Amino acid sequence: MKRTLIFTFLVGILLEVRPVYAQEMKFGKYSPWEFELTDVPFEPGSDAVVLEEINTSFFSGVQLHSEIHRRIKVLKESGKSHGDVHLAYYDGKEGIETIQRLRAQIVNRENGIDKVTKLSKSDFFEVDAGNGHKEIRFTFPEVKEGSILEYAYTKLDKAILFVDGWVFQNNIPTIKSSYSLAVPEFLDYRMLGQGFKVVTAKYRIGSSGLYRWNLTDLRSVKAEPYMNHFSDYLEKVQFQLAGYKSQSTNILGQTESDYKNMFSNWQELADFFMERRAFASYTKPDKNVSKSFPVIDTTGKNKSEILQEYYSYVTQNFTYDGKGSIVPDQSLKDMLVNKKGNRAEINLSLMALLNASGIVAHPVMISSKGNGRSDLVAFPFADQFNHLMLVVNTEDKLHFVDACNPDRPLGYLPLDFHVNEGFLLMEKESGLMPVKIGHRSGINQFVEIKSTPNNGFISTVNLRLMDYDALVYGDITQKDALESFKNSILITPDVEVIKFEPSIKTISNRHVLETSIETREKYGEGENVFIKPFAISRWTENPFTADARTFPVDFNYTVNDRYSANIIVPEGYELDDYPENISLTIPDGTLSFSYQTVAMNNNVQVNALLSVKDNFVIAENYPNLKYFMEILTSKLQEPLILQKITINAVAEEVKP
Amino acid sequence: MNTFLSRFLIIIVLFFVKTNGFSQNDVRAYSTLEKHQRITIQEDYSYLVDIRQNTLITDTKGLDHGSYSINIDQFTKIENFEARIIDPKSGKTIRRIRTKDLSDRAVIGEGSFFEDSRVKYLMLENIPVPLRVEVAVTLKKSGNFNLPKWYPNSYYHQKVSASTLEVFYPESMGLRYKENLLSGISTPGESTGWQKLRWEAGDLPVIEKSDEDMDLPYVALAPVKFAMEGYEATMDSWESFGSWFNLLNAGRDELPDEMKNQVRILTDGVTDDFEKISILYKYLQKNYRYVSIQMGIGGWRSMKAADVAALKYGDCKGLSMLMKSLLKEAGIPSDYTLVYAGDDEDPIDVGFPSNQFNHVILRVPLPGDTLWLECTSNTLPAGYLGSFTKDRPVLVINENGGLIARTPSYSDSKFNKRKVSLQVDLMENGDAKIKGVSSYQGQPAEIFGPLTYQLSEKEQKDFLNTHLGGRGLNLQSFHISVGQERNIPTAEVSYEGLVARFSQNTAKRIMIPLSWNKSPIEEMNNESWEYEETLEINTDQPLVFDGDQPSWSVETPHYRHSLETVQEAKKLVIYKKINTYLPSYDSGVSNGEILLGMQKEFQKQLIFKK
Repeated sequence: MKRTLIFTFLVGILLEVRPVYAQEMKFGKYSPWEFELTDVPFEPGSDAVVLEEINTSFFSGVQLHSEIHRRIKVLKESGKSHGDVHLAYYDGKEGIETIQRLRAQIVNRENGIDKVTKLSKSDFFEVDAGNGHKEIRFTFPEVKEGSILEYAYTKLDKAILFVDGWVFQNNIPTIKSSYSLAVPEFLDYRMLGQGFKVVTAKYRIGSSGLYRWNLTDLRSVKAEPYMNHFSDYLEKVQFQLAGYKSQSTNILGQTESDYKNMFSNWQELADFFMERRAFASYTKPDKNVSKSFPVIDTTGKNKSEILQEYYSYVTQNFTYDGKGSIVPDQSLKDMLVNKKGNRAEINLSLMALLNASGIVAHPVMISSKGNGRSDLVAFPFADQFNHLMLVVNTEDKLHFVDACNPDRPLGYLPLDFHVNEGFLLMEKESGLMPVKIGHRSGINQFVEIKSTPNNGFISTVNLRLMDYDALVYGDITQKDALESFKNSILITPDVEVIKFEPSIKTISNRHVLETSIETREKYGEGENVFIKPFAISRWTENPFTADARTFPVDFNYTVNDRYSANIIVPEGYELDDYPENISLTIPDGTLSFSYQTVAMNNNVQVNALLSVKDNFVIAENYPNLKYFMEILTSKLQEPLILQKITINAVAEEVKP
Repeated sequence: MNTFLSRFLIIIVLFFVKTNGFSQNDVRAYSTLEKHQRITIQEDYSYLVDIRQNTLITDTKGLDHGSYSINIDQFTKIENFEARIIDPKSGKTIRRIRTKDLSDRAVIGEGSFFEDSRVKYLMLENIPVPLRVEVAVTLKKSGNFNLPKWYPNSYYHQKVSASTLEVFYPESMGLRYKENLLSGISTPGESTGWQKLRWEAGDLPVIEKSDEDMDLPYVALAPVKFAMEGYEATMDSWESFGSWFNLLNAGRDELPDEMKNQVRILTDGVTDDFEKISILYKYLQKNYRYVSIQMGIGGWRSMKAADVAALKYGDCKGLSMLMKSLLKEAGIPSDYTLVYAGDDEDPIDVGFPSNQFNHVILRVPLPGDTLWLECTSNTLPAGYLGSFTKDRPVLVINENGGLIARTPSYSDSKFNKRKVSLQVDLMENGDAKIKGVSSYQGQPAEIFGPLTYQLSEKEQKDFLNTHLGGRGLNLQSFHISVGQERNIPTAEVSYEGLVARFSQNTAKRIMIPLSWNKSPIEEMNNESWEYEETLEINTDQPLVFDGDQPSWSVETPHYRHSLETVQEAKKLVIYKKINTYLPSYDSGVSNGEILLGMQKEFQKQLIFKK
């Protein structure tokens, strides 16, 4: 995140508060157990392990000093790649962060003798990653199984409003990870922790401004399917300045002390953002700028219709530059000319247009899924947000709006915006508000299967994909999107497609992708005919194949699917066999499925219902979810079996 | 007719005759480009690139068409850069950008740890359109090993009104070029002993992203005489091009005494050359790792073998050089070999000797056999290349210079074998206990080397649950053993587990998939394949076929497959065999279509009465 340099105005503060601890890991001093370790008890088979890492952070003047020391052991040959190290920092234009006093060495114990190789300055490469971001890269020589790699450096940070803090987990297991922050008496910080170990640890040392965590046995973190990003679940801690004392000398030579609160309530945080010049240009547009607003005829339209008009105008005429942001960089005046901007600029432009038309709209900041914190903390912690959208009051309804995608109709948000809460910014009474996104996503499929002359079947399918299930396919009026949609629907081989007519509709304010499909297939001349009632289903294969899960499953949105098939048994055949009826649910009730077959005369009716009532399934319920999916996908593949009626059988039937 | 008009007509005619790869279309243009590029090659092997271009942007979506980037390395210097952003209506200059105003960042290729390349760039953002961007740039390159490829087109959705390339070079230096859909005009230069080449294109159709496979016009240039950092050679044949690498790498294969001793320790008493190669290759794999650091001429020249030996890491050039040195010490000659690597890359243009390579491997010519070594792999067996470099032309560097050869295709069936033996105890509800052994040889075995090398046991299990069988597999135990038969990779996976819904049960029937095990047919992308499967299904009650007991043997010019089912009291055994003899990939025949019929047969289910 681009960070702001502040507090150069703190005066007279040259104190350095630096914590000192006993039994700290010393650079180049190794314990016998570190050489003896060959596997990680809590994560066997790992190719490398962080033996210990320490971040000791303290303030010197108005700079944050972080002394970071990390020691890694290579346990398997494949772990040699951990000999390549990247240290990222944000330099900005003013040297906001710098890395100093970098030391690195590798030790290999051979025949009881430790061979230590130290890296020199020429081994450290500086890489400019662009936009103020930089890296120092180095690679250890002679890395092999058993090598212990170690490096230490000091990171200086001039931006102390938000303290990055520490992430206690790595992409390899971590035996011990320690973090301490010594806050001097003239600064107050609010702490924001995440993860069970972080929040349950005893981290305040006495009544001083000292925080310290010593966490052990931390598992590696890796992505799993059906989740946004594991950073939402990491053990980590961050800080935000809550207030500071300053001293100055008045004209009489007297020392005066002052204390200033920072973001003690949500309104202060809202003011912090909204008082920025660029932001204010949207909330309180200049009269001359207002004159250049587009003229849209709203005569006779209600507020919801006016919102729709402006939403269409902005999505069609403004281009999102792909940068998620919570604050605008360019002013409203520039945006109206350039018509291209970041998310905050686009949504705030819409807000300005709506407000000018008498419709109340306010910015809402959120932390999207995968941003590291989808559940907001209950105090004004600014660094938790990454996107800005709007809440619009049309009196009949509150609408959550993001106008960055012309293919997404009003009323829908990106899937990673489906969070519980957002930060509402207003002139007064700013605060957290629930984000409620109404939708009834799902797949409705109505199938009629009947025979044709020449041993064939015609299937007529009316397929309705609703809300987010329709939006997944994008704008199907475009060639590529249509092709992709068709390929994902028509997956059954040996089927002749007679008709495939998709259309986008709005039904009761819902976005619907409705498709009429007609297919024909041969069933051969054997005794038995196998019919699969549903060619289309949400899952044709179990998406969960791993036998265990670390993080919750996130389906992103709830769904209700209804599949219904009416099969007309052709003359000369009878229904002989069909899938057994089933009704199942997983123990926490988040998913349920039922399948039922009813035969009447020459009609067979098959109905299936699938319901995902909550988009989250906790990891403990994963085995049940996996088995549920196995049964669901298997059941939807099971056929009905029609059997040719033999003359004898007919004769038996008519016997009195 | 005046001379200007006659020249104009010739160019237009040439262009339309030659650009039959295009179809006229109505793709919307966001900008219009006029570009003139001049390359002047000097006798000291340096060259200048002068570019003058005007881009008129009429749509916000084309704002990036006015952006400009220059790749800078140790051999490239910006002599001059100036860009003007102009309001086309008033003609006023909105902004003027010089070299010092350009943004700057590092450029490090994928898989590389560090490179000294940088990009200086001008990015247009938040500027209202229409606007005109005029760019004038002069670059000086200190060596002519690489000459830029010229495309008249720069962006999708851009109209090219005029684009020219002029190349001036001393006749004594020579120059070669390859044209695609364009024809150049060669004329004497203005000075004695100089030659001029010119290409011109105009009014090109606007293209969009979906046209990315379209054959676009271009001109590729390559020197005859060339030099970098004082290393001189000619590039008019692969032989002479290869000799430049010999010059560049001369003496870099020297090993320190310690390493020479190591070779002796490892190979003492071993008489077979393949075994020696295999021992030394495994030593390299176990003790060295791939780290790519590219600086200056190090982008083409190998690290010294002694340096790689000391650091225990190197890039493809360094690791290949070290392996070459180890083999040399063991008395086995080998050749440093350049290749354009990639899983789906187009082959190099063998008819146009020039720098077309991105990777180095090693060729080891043995009596009656030639082995190839991928020295960056920690898992492949000695003498086996993976899909990254197989089946393509390469430039072998030997003592005589360069020589085009071809890497093996692994199309023989000994490189494409899979055998499966599976026991299934089927339960009443359709779930099953399974126990199986799958063995793989050649390409199907390749994946298991990296799998066991890189992944934890849990990750291996997750991989097998997804890839080993069909649906519903939940492994309880498994063992993967990776090996080799001479230079062919092999792997064997034994496993036990549970399968949810192995069979589908209706009220009266049990349906068992004929191919629960992952179908090998989808993998059959090579010419010859051998597949064998034995599936034993045990049940509490005897299985009764609903209809005839299936059995078949089919033979076509491209494949042979058979199925046999043997039923005992409570046991059903299914034997499957598949052999393929498919046309080569180059034939253009779709193997997928050939195999479709067979695939359908094996997708069927066996139906039993309850």
